Amino acid sequence: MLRVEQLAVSYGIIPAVHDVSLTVNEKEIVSLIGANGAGKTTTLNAISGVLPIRSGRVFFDGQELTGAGSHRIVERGLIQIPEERHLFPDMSVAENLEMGAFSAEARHLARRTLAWVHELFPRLHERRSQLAGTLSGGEQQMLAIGRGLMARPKLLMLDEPSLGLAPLIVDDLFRIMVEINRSDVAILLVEQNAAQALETSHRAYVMENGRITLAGEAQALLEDEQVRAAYLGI
Amino acid sequence: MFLQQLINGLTLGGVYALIAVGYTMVYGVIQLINFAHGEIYMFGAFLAYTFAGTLGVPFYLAMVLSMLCCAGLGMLIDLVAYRPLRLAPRLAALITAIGVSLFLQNLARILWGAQNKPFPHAAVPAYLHETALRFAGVTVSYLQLFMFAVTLAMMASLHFIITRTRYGKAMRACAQDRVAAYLMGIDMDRIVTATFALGSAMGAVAGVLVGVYFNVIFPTMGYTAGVKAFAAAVLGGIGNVPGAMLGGLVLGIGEAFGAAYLSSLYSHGIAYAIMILVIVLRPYGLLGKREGVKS
Repeated sequence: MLRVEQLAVSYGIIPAVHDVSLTVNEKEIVSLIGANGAGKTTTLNAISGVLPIRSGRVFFDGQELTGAGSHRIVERGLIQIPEERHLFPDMSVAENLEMGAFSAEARHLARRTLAWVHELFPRLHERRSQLAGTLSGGEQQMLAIGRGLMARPKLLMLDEPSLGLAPLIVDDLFRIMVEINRSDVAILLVEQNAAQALETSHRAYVMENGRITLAGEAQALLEDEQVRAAYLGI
Repeated sequence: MFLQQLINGLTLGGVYALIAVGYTMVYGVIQLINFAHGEIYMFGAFLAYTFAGTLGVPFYLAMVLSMLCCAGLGMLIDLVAYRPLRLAPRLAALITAIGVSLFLQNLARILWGAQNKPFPHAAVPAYLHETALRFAGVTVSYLQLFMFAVTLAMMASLHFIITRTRYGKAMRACAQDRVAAYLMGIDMDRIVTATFALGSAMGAVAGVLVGVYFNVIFPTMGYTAGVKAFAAAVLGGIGNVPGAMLGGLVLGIGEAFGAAYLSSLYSHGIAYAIMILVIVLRPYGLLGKREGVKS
Protein backbone atom coordinates (compact mmCIF):
# COMPACT_ATOMS: atom_id res chain seq x y z
CA MET A 1 0.00 0.00 0.00
CA LEU A 2 2.79 2.41 0.95
CA ARG A 3 6.14 1.87 -0.67
CA VAL A 4 9.06 4.17 0.02
CA GLU A 5 12.17 3.68 -2.11
CA GLN A 6 15.60 4.94 -1.20
CA LEU A 7 14.33 8.09 0.44
CA ALA A 8 16.87 10.81 1.26
CA VAL A 9 16.10 14.04 3.10
CA SER A 10 18.39 16.88 4.11
CA TYR A 11 18.03 19.94 6.27
CA GLY A 12 19.88 22.46 4.13
CA ILE A 13 23.17 20.78 3.36
CA ILE A 14 22.97 18.49 6.36
CA PRO A 15 21.70 15.04 5.40
CA ALA A 16 19.17 13.66 7.87
CA VAL A 17 17.85 10.50 6.27
CA HIS A 18 19.56 8.31 3.66
CA ASP A 19 18.48 5.42 1.60
CA VAL A 20 15.35 4.62 3.57
CA SER A 21 13.15 1.99 1.94
CA LEU A 22 10.08 0.66 3.65
CA THR A 23 6.67 -0.76 2.89
CA VAL A 24 3.39 -0.92 4.70
CA ASN A 25 0.86 -3.43 3.42
CA GLU A 26 -2.90 -3.19 3.67
CA LYS A 27 -4.32 -3.78 7.14
CA GLU A 28 -0.87 -3.86 8.67
CA ILE A 29 0.53 -2.11 11.73
CA VAL A 30 4.18 -1.33 11.14
CA SER A 31 6.38 0.50 13.59
CA LEU A 32 9.45 2.54 13.07
CA ILE A 33 11.55 2.58 16.19
CA GLY A 34 14.88 4.07 17.07
CA ALA A 35 16.63 6.58 19.30
CA ASN A 36 15.95 10.29 19.41
CA GLY A 37 17.29 11.96 16.28
CA ALA A 38 17.48 8.74 14.28
CA GLY A 39 15.35 10.29 11.54
CA LYS A 40 11.93 8.72 12.23
CA THR A 41 9.94 11.95 12.27
CA THR A 42 11.92 13.27 9.30
CA THR A 43 10.95 10.16 7.35
CA LEU A 44 7.25 10.64 8.12
CA ASN A 45 7.41 14.35 7.32
CA ALA A 46 8.98 13.60 3.95
CA ILE A 47 6.32 11.02 3.11
CA SER A 48 3.49 13.40 4.01
CA GLY A 49 5.03 16.27 2.06
CA VAL A 50 5.90 18.54 4.99
CA LEU A 51 9.60 18.23 4.12
CA PRO A 52 11.02 18.24 0.60
CA ILE A 53 12.43 14.95 -0.60
CA ARG A 54 15.98 15.13 -1.94
CA SER A 55 15.93 11.81 -3.68
CA GLY A 56 13.95 8.62 -3.65
CA ARG A 57 10.30 7.93 -4.39
CA VAL A 58 7.05 7.46 -2.53
CA PHE A 59 4.24 5.27 -3.89
CA PHE A 60 0.87 4.99 -2.27
CA ASP A 61 -2.06 2.88 -3.35
CA GLY A 62 -0.49 2.34 -6.78
CA GLN A 63 0.27 6.00 -7.44
CA GLU A 64 3.45 7.97 -7.12
CA LEU A 65 3.15 10.73 -4.54
CA THR A 66 6.76 11.90 -4.42
CA GLY A 67 6.66 15.63 -3.86
CA ALA A 68 2.87 15.89 -4.33
CA GLY A 69 1.15 18.72 -2.48
CA SER A 70 -0.31 17.84 0.89
CA HIS A 71 -3.90 18.16 -0.23
CA ARG A 72 -3.33 15.54 -2.91
CA ILE A 73 -1.62 13.24 -0.43
CA VAL A 74 -4.45 13.70 2.06
CA GLU A 75 -7.10 13.08 -0.58
CA ARG A 76 -5.47 9.75 -1.40
CA GLY A 77 -5.96 8.70 2.21
CA LEU A 78 -2.44 9.02 3.58
CA ILE A 79 -2.75 10.96 6.83
CA GLN A 80 -0.11 11.95 9.34
CA ILE A 81 -0.88 12.67 12.97
CA PRO A 82 2.06 14.89 13.87
CA GLU A 83 4.25 14.74 16.94
CA GLU A 84 3.05 17.02 19.72
CA ARG A 85 -0.48 16.81 18.29
CA HIS A 86 -0.59 20.23 16.58
CA LEU A 87 -4.24 20.91 17.34
CA PHE A 88 -5.96 24.19 16.52
CA PRO A 89 -5.90 25.42 20.13
CA ASP A 90 -8.47 28.22 19.87
CA MET A 91 -11.03 26.16 17.99
CA SER A 92 -13.52 23.82 19.60
CA VAL A 93 -13.18 20.06 19.58
CA ALA A 94 -15.98 19.88 17.00
CA GLU A 95 -14.28 22.44 14.76
CA ASN A 96 -10.96 20.60 14.98
CA LEU A 97 -12.71 17.44 13.84
CA GLU A 98 -14.45 19.33 11.07
CA MET A 99 -11.08 20.59 9.80
CA GLY A 100 -9.93 16.98 9.61
CA ALA A 101 -12.62 16.35 7.00
CA PHE A 102 -11.55 19.24 4.81
CA SER A 103 -11.03 17.39 1.54
CA ALA A 104 -14.09 16.86 -0.65
CA GLU A 105 -14.54 13.14 -0.22
CA ALA A 106 -14.00 13.17 3.53
CA ARG A 107 -16.54 15.97 3.86
CA HIS A 108 -19.26 13.93 2.21
CA LEU A 109 -18.70 11.15 4.72
CA ALA A 110 -18.09 13.52 7.64
CA ARG A 111 -21.29 12.77 9.55
CA ARG A 112 -20.77 9.03 9.48
CA THR A 113 -17.08 9.34 10.29
CA LEU A 114 -17.87 11.62 13.21
CA ALA A 115 -20.18 9.00 14.69
CA TRP A 116 -17.35 6.47 14.47
CA VAL A 117 -14.83 8.86 16.04
CA HIS A 118 -17.25 9.59 18.89
CA GLU A 119 -17.70 5.86 19.37
CA LEU A 120 -13.93 5.37 19.62
CA PHE A 121 -13.46 8.42 21.84
CA PRO A 122 -16.68 9.15 23.75
CA ARG A 123 -14.79 11.85 25.62
CA LEU A 124 -14.55 13.92 22.43
CA HIS A 125 -18.31 13.93 22.18
CA GLU A 126 -18.64 15.12 25.78
CA ARG A 127 -16.14 17.89 25.16
CA ARG A 128 -17.27 18.83 21.65
CA SER A 129 -17.75 22.53 22.37
CA GLN A 130 -14.64 22.94 24.54
CA LEU A 131 -11.58 24.69 23.08
CA ALA A 132 -8.92 22.19 22.06
CA GLY A 133 -6.20 24.09 23.91
CA THR A 134 -7.95 23.50 27.23
CA LEU A 135 -8.06 19.70 26.97
CA SER A 136 -5.81 17.42 29.01
CA GLY A 137 -2.82 15.83 27.29
CA GLY A 138 -4.59 12.52 26.78
CA GLU A 139 -7.70 14.16 25.42
CA GLN A 140 -5.59 16.25 23.06
CA GLN A 141 -3.97 13.11 21.67
CA MET A 142 -7.42 11.55 21.23
CA LEU A 143 -8.53 14.65 19.36
CA ALA A 144 -5.41 14.60 17.17
CA ILE A 145 -6.16 10.99 16.22
CA GLY A 146 -9.86 11.70 15.82
CA ARG A 147 -9.12 14.64 13.55
CA GLY A 148 -6.85 12.43 11.45
CA LEU A 149 -9.58 9.78 11.18
CA MET A 150 -12.03 12.42 9.94
CA ALA A 151 -9.91 12.57 6.78
CA ARG A 152 -10.86 8.91 6.04
CA PRO A 153 -7.32 7.52 6.04
CA LYS A 154 -6.35 4.29 4.36
CA LEU A 155 -3.02 4.61 6.10
CA LEU A 156 -2.51 6.53 9.31
CA MET A 157 1.00 7.65 10.23
CA LEU A 158 1.22 8.28 13.96
CA ASP A 159 4.21 10.16 15.32
CA GLU A 160 4.92 9.52 18.99
CA PRO A 161 1.30 9.31 20.11
CA SER A 162 2.29 8.24 23.63
CA LEU A 163 4.66 11.14 24.24
CA GLY A 164 4.16 12.70 27.66
CA LEU A 165 1.08 10.66 28.57
CA ALA A 166 0.38 8.60 31.69
CA PRO A 167 0.86 4.83 31.29
CA LEU A 168 -2.85 4.07 31.70
CA ILE A 169 -3.76 6.48 28.93
CA VAL A 170 -1.00 5.05 26.75
CA ASP A 171 -2.52 1.56 27.18
CA ASP A 172 -5.85 3.00 26.14
CA LEU A 173 -4.34 4.59 23.04
CA PHE A 174 -2.68 1.38 21.93
CA ARG A 175 -5.95 -0.49 22.41
CA ILE A 176 -7.80 2.07 20.28
CA MET A 177 -5.06 1.95 17.67
CA VAL A 178 -5.66 -1.78 17.27
CA GLU A 179 -9.38 -1.11 17.03
CA ILE A 180 -8.80 1.46 14.28
CA ASN A 181 -6.60 -1.03 12.48
CA ARG A 182 -9.41 -3.60 12.62
CA SER A 183 -11.50 -1.16 10.55
CA ASP A 184 -9.03 -1.73 7.71
CA VAL A 185 -6.82 1.27 8.37
CA ALA A 186 -3.14 0.47 8.00
CA ILE A 187 -0.88 2.13 10.55
CA LEU A 188 2.71 3.32 10.41
CA LEU A 189 3.73 4.04 13.97
CA VAL A 190 6.74 5.99 15.15
CA GLU A 191 7.41 5.35 18.82
CA GLN A 192 9.98 5.86 21.53
CA ASN A 193 8.06 3.31 23.54
CA ALA A 194 9.57 0.44 21.55
CA ALA A 195 8.31 -2.44 23.69
CA GLN A 196 4.66 -1.52 23.45
CA ALA A 197 5.01 -0.56 19.78
CA LEU A 198 6.52 -3.93 18.89
CA GLU A 199 3.91 -5.84 20.88
CA THR A 200 1.16 -4.10 18.93
CA SER A 201 2.74 -4.25 15.46
CA HIS A 202 2.96 -6.88 12.77
CA ARG A 203 6.30 -5.72 11.45
CA ALA A 204 8.89 -3.11 12.38
CA TYR A 205 11.89 -1.18 11.16
CA VAL A 206 14.74 0.03 13.34
CA MET A 207 16.39 3.32 12.43
CA GLU A 208 19.82 4.52 13.46
CA ASN A 209 21.57 7.68 12.32
CA GLY A 210 19.20 8.25 9.43
CA ARG A 211 19.31 4.70 8.09
CA ILE A 212 17.26 1.59 8.51
CA THR A 213 19.50 -0.92 10.20
CA LEU A 214 17.09 -3.71 10.97
CA ALA A 215 13.72 -4.87 9.73
CA GLY A 216 11.47 -7.81 10.35
CA GLU A 217 8.49 -9.35 12.09
CA ALA A 218 7.74 -7.42 15.27
CA GLN A 219 7.76 -10.62 17.32
CA ALA A 220 11.23 -11.55 16.03
CA LEU A 221 12.58 -8.09 16.81
CA LEU A 222 11.15 -8.30 20.32
CA GLU A 223 13.33 -11.37 20.83
CA ASP A 224 16.40 -9.97 19.08
CA GLU A 225 19.31 -9.55 21.48
CA GLN A 226 20.51 -6.33 19.89
CA VAL A 227 17.08 -4.72 19.91
CA ARG A 228 16.45 -5.82 23.48
CA ALA A 229 19.68 -4.24 24.64
CA ALA A 230 19.40 -1.03 22.67
CA TYR A 231 15.68 -0.19 22.72
CA LEU A 232 13.91 -2.32 25.26
CA GLY A 233 16.38 -1.80 28.08
CA ILE A 234 16.45 -5.49 28.93
CA MET B 1 -19.79 67.85 23.50
CA PHE B 2 -18.80 64.57 25.15
CA LEU B 3 -21.61 62.63 23.53
CA GLN B 4 -21.02 64.29 20.16
CA GLN B 5 -17.35 63.36 20.24
CA LEU B 6 -18.18 59.85 21.28
CA ILE B 7 -20.45 59.51 18.25
CA ASN B 8 -17.87 61.04 15.92
CA GLY B 9 -15.24 58.74 17.40
CA LEU B 10 -17.36 55.65 16.93
CA THR B 11 -18.08 56.58 13.32
CA LEU B 12 -14.43 57.00 12.51
CA GLY B 13 -13.37 54.10 14.74
CA GLY B 14 -15.67 51.78 12.83
CA VAL B 15 -13.84 52.71 9.64
CA TYR B 16 -10.45 52.09 11.25
CA ALA B 17 -11.77 48.75 12.41
CA LEU B 18 -12.81 47.85 8.86
CA ILE B 19 -9.28 48.51 7.63
CA ALA B 20 -7.61 46.96 10.66
CA VAL B 21 -9.26 43.56 10.20
CA GLY B 22 -7.59 43.36 6.78
CA TYR B 23 -4.15 43.82 8.32
CA THR B 24 -4.81 41.42 11.11
CA MET B 25 -6.31 38.62 9.00
CA VAL B 26 -3.43 38.60 6.54
CA TYR B 27 -0.95 38.73 9.41
CA GLY B 28 -2.73 35.87 11.13
CA VAL B 29 -2.50 33.60 8.12
CA ILE B 30 0.92 34.40 6.62
CA GLN B 31 2.61 36.66 9.24
CA LEU B 32 2.93 39.45 6.71
CA ILE B 33 2.22 43.08 7.49
CA ASN B 34 0.64 44.03 4.21
CA PHE B 35 1.73 47.64 3.91
CA ALA B 36 -0.16 47.92 0.64
CA HIS B 37 -3.45 47.47 2.46
CA GLY B 38 -3.87 51.23 2.93
CA GLU B 39 -3.63 51.60 -0.85
CA ILE B 40 -6.45 49.12 -1.34
CA TYR B 41 -8.54 51.39 0.85
CA MET B 42 -7.51 54.35 -1.32
CA PHE B 43 -8.38 52.42 -4.49
CA GLY B 44 -11.73 51.59 -2.94
CA ALA B 45 -12.47 55.30 -2.61
CA PHE B 46 -11.24 56.17 -6.13
CA LEU B 47 -13.04 53.29 -7.82
CA ALA B 48 -16.32 54.31 -6.20
CA TYR B 49 -15.57 57.86 -7.30
CA THR B 50 -15.14 56.69 -10.89
CA PHE B 51 -18.16 54.39 -10.85
CA ALA B 52 -20.53 56.84 -9.16
CA GLY B 53 -19.10 60.20 -10.21
CA THR B 54 -17.83 59.56 -13.73
CA LEU B 55 -19.89 56.63 -14.97
CA GLY B 56 -23.08 57.55 -13.15
CA VAL B 57 -23.60 54.20 -11.44
CA PRO B 58 -25.93 54.48 -8.41
CA PHE B 59 -23.94 55.10 -5.25
CA TYR B 60 -24.75 51.88 -3.38
CA LEU B 61 -24.03 49.78 -6.45
CA ALA B 62 -20.78 51.70 -6.97
CA MET B 63 -19.81 50.77 -3.45
CA VAL B 64 -20.43 47.09 -4.09
CA LEU B 65 -18.55 47.23 -7.41
CA SER B 66 -15.63 48.93 -5.71
CA MET B 67 -15.60 46.17 -3.08
CA LEU B 68 -15.51 43.48 -5.76
CA CYS B 69 -12.76 45.21 -7.72
CA CYS B 70 -10.66 45.66 -4.61
CA ALA B 71 -11.16 42.02 -3.62
CA GLY B 72 -9.76 41.18 -7.05
CA LEU B 73 -6.94 43.66 -6.62
CA GLY B 74 -6.02 42.17 -3.26
CA MET B 75 -5.90 38.66 -4.73
CA LEU B 76 -3.84 39.90 -7.67
CA ILE B 77 -1.31 41.61 -5.38
CA ASP B 78 -0.90 38.42 -3.39
CA LEU B 79 -0.51 36.33 -6.51
CA VAL B 80 2.03 38.59 -8.20
CA ALA B 81 3.97 40.08 -5.32
CA TYR B 82 3.74 37.88 -2.22
CA ARG B 83 3.16 34.31 -3.30
CA PRO B 84 6.56 33.94 -5.01
CA LEU B 85 8.13 34.98 -1.69
CA ARG B 86 6.14 32.67 0.57
CA LEU B 87 9.20 30.65 1.52
CA ALA B 88 11.59 33.61 1.53
CA PRO B 89 12.62 35.36 4.76
CA ARG B 90 9.79 37.52 6.14
CA LEU B 91 11.74 40.72 5.57
CA ALA B 92 11.70 40.16 1.80
CA ALA B 93 7.90 40.08 1.69
CA LEU B 94 7.69 43.09 4.00
CA ILE B 95 9.90 45.19 1.75
CA THR B 96 7.91 44.00 -1.26
CA ALA B 97 4.76 45.18 0.50
CA ILE B 98 6.24 48.66 0.82
CA GLY B 99 7.12 48.53 -2.86
CA VAL B 100 3.58 47.51 -3.82
CA SER B 101 2.25 50.35 -1.68
CA LEU B 102 4.39 52.93 -3.52
CA PHE B 103 3.49 51.39 -6.86
CA LEU B 104 -0.24 51.65 -6.18
CA GLN B 105 0.04 55.23 -4.91
CA ASN B 106 1.74 56.26 -8.10
CA LEU B 107 -0.61 54.25 -10.25
CA ALA B 108 -3.45 56.23 -8.66
CA ARG B 109 -1.61 59.46 -9.47
CA ILE B 110 -1.44 58.43 -13.12
CA LEU B 111 -5.05 57.28 -13.26
CA TRP B 112 -6.73 60.05 -11.31
CA GLY B 113 -4.16 62.83 -10.89
CA ALA B 114 -2.30 63.95 -7.79
CA GLN B 115 -4.73 66.64 -6.61
CA ASN B 116 -7.26 66.28 -3.84
CA LYS B 117 -10.63 65.44 -5.30
CA PRO B 118 -13.98 66.14 -3.71
CA PHE B 119 -16.31 63.16 -3.77
CA PRO B 120 -18.94 64.49 -6.21
CA HIS B 121 -22.01 65.52 -4.26
CA ALA B 122 -24.33 64.57 -7.06
CA ALA B 123 -23.03 61.02 -6.94
CA VAL B 124 -24.09 60.54 -3.34
CA PRO B 125 -27.75 60.34 -2.31
CA ALA B 126 -28.57 63.82 -1.00
CA TYR B 127 -30.24 62.69 2.20
CA LEU B 128 -27.00 61.16 3.46
CA HIS B 129 -25.69 64.61 4.22
CA GLU B 130 -28.80 65.67 6.11
CA THR B 131 -29.26 65.53 9.83
CA ALA B 132 -31.02 62.42 11.00
CA LEU B 133 -31.14 62.94 14.73
CA ARG B 134 -30.79 65.95 16.97
CA PHE B 135 -30.97 65.56 20.71
CA ALA B 136 -29.27 67.12 23.74
CA GLY B 137 -27.12 69.28 21.52
CA VAL B 138 -25.92 66.29 19.53
CA THR B 139 -26.43 65.96 15.79
CA VAL B 140 -26.10 62.73 13.87
CA SER B 141 -26.23 62.72 10.10
CA TYR B 142 -27.77 60.00 7.97
CA LEU B 143 -24.28 59.40 6.66
CA GLN B 144 -23.05 58.63 10.16
CA LEU B 145 -25.95 56.26 10.70
CA PHE B 146 -25.19 54.67 7.34
CA MET B 147 -21.51 54.27 8.28
CA PHE B 148 -22.50 52.65 11.56
CA ALA B 149 -24.90 50.33 9.84
CA VAL B 150 -22.44 49.34 7.13
CA THR B 151 -19.63 48.81 9.62
CA LEU B 152 -21.84 46.66 11.82
CA ALA B 153 -23.12 44.65 8.87
CA MET B 154 -19.58 44.07 7.56
CA MET B 155 -18.31 43.03 10.98
CA ALA B 156 -21.25 40.70 11.48
CA SER B 157 -20.69 39.12 8.06
CA LEU B 158 -16.98 38.74 8.74
CA HIS B 159 -17.73 37.13 12.09
CA PHE B 160 -20.15 34.77 10.40
CA ILE B 161 -17.62 33.90 7.71
CA ILE B 162 -14.76 33.08 10.05
CA THR B 163 -16.82 31.18 12.60
CA ARG B 164 -19.38 29.37 10.46
CA THR B 165 -18.06 28.76 6.94
CA ARG B 166 -15.59 26.10 5.87
CA TYR B 167 -13.16 28.58 4.35
CA GLY B 168 -13.43 30.91 7.31
CA LYS B 169 -12.70 28.12 9.75
CA ALA B 170 -9.79 27.02 7.57
CA MET B 171 -8.43 30.59 7.79
CA ARG B 172 -8.43 30.36 11.56
CA ALA B 173 -6.92 26.89 11.35
CA CYS B 174 -4.04 28.16 9.17
CA ALA B 175 -3.47 31.03 11.58
CA GLN B 176 -3.42 28.76 14.62
CA ASP B 177 -1.25 25.95 13.34
CA ARG B 178 0.07 26.04 9.84
CA VAL B 179 1.67 22.58 9.96
CA ALA B 180 -1.54 20.97 11.11
CA ALA B 181 -3.55 22.81 8.47
CA TYR B 182 -1.11 21.51 5.86
CA LEU B 183 -1.36 17.95 7.17
CA MET B 184 -5.15 18.08 7.06
CA GLY B 185 -4.92 18.83 3.35
CA ILE B 186 -6.06 22.43 3.63
CA ASP B 187 -4.86 24.20 0.50
CA MET B 188 -2.94 27.11 1.97
CA ASP B 189 -2.78 29.09 -1.29
CA ARG B 190 -6.53 29.13 -1.67
CA ILE B 191 -7.06 30.14 1.92
CA VAL B 192 -4.54 32.99 1.59
CA THR B 193 -6.26 34.17 -1.60
CA ALA B 194 -9.62 34.16 0.17
CA THR B 195 -8.11 36.08 3.08
CA PHE B 196 -6.77 38.79 0.79
CA ALA B 197 -10.11 39.05 -1.02
CA LEU B 198 -12.07 39.38 2.20
CA GLY B 199 -9.72 41.88 3.85
CA SER B 200 -9.49 43.98 0.67
CA ALA B 201 -13.26 44.15 0.26
CA MET B 202 -13.59 45.42 3.85
CA GLY B 203 -10.83 47.98 3.23
CA ALA B 204 -12.56 49.19 0.05
CA VAL B 205 -15.79 49.84 1.95
CA ALA B 206 -13.84 51.88 4.49
CA GLY B 207 -12.33 53.91 1.66
CA VAL B 208 -15.71 54.74 0.17
CA LEU B 209 -17.17 55.69 3.55
CA VAL B 210 -14.27 57.97 4.43
CA GLY B 211 -14.24 59.53 0.96
CA VAL B 212 -17.86 60.53 1.37
CA TYR B 213 -17.53 61.48 5.05
CA PHE B 214 -14.60 63.88 4.64
CA ASN B 215 -15.59 64.62 1.07
CA VAL B 216 -12.03 64.44 -0.19
CA ILE B 217 -9.95 61.69 -1.74
CA PHE B 218 -6.30 61.71 -2.81
CA PRO B 219 -3.67 59.14 -3.83
CA THR B 220 -1.80 59.23 -0.51
CA MET B 221 -4.92 58.94 1.65
CA GLY B 222 -4.11 55.29 2.24
CA TYR B 223 -0.88 56.06 4.00
CA THR B 224 -2.22 57.79 7.11
CA ALA B 225 -5.32 55.64 7.30
CA GLY B 226 -3.18 52.55 6.80
CA VAL B 227 -0.78 53.46 9.59
CA LYS B 228 -3.65 54.25 11.93
CA ALA B 229 -5.49 51.05 11.15
CA PHE B 230 -2.25 49.14 11.60
CA ALA B 231 -1.91 50.83 15.01
CA ALA B 232 -5.47 49.70 15.75
CA ALA B 233 -4.61 46.13 14.78
CA VAL B 234 -1.53 46.20 17.02
CA LEU B 235 -3.59 47.72 19.81
CA GLY B 236 -6.08 44.87 19.62
CA GLY B 237 -3.37 42.23 19.25
CA ILE B 238 -2.12 41.60 15.73
CA GLY B 239 -3.64 38.47 14.25
CA ASN B 240 -6.75 38.76 16.42
CA VAL B 241 -9.92 39.75 14.53
CA PRO B 242 -12.11 40.88 17.45
CA GLY B 243 -9.01 42.69 18.73
CA ALA B 244 -8.73 44.66 15.49
CA MET B 245 -12.39 45.66 15.72
CA LEU B 246 -11.94 46.80 19.33
CA GLY B 247 -8.64 48.51 18.52
CA GLY B 248 -10.26 50.47 15.69
CA LEU B 249 -13.06 51.73 17.93
CA VAL B 250 -10.69 52.67 20.78
CA LEU B 251 -8.46 54.52 18.35
CA GLY B 252 -11.36 56.37 16.73
CA ILE B 253 -12.77 57.48 20.07
CA GLY B 254 -9.31 58.39 21.35
CA GLU B 255 -8.71 60.55 18.31
CA ALA B 256 -12.07 62.28 18.55
CA PHE B 257 -11.53 63.10 22.20
CA GLY B 258 -7.94 64.13 21.58
CA ALA B 259 -9.05 66.52 18.87
CA ALA B 260 -11.84 67.93 21.05
CA TYR B 261 -10.11 68.28 24.40
CA LEU B 262 -6.48 68.78 23.46
CA SER B 263 -6.19 70.16 19.96
CA SER B 264 -7.17 68.92 16.57
CA LEU B 265 -3.49 69.21 15.70
CA TYR B 266 -2.84 66.23 17.95
CA SER B 267 -5.37 63.96 16.33
CA HIS B 268 -2.88 62.20 14.04
CA GLY B 269 -0.34 61.90 16.83
CA ILE B 270 -2.77 60.02 19.03
CA ALA B 271 -2.61 56.90 16.89
CA TYR B 272 1.18 56.84 17.23
CA ALA B 273 1.02 57.59 20.95
CA ILE B 274 -1.39 54.69 21.45
CA MET B 275 0.82 52.38 19.41
CA ILE B 276 3.91 53.34 21.42
CA LEU B 277 2.03 52.82 24.69
CA VAL B 278 0.84 49.40 23.56
CA ILE B 279 4.32 48.33 22.52
CA VAL B 280 5.75 49.43 25.85
CA LEU B 281 2.99 48.25 28.18
CA ARG B 282 1.23 45.39 26.46
CA PRO B 283 3.06 44.33 23.31
CA TYR B 284 0.65 41.47 22.61
CA GLY B 285 -2.28 43.91 22.45
CA LEU B 286 -5.58 44.16 24.28
CA LEU B 287 -6.97 40.80 23.21
CA GLY B 288 -3.80 39.16 21.91
CA LYS B 289 -2.05 36.33 23.64
CA ARG B 290 1.23 36.61 25.43
CA GLU B 291 3.72 34.49 23.54
CA GLY B 292 7.39 34.10 22.78
CA VAL B 293 9.05 35.30 19.62
CA LYS B 294 8.12 33.11 16.68
CA SER B 295 10.72 32.54 14.04
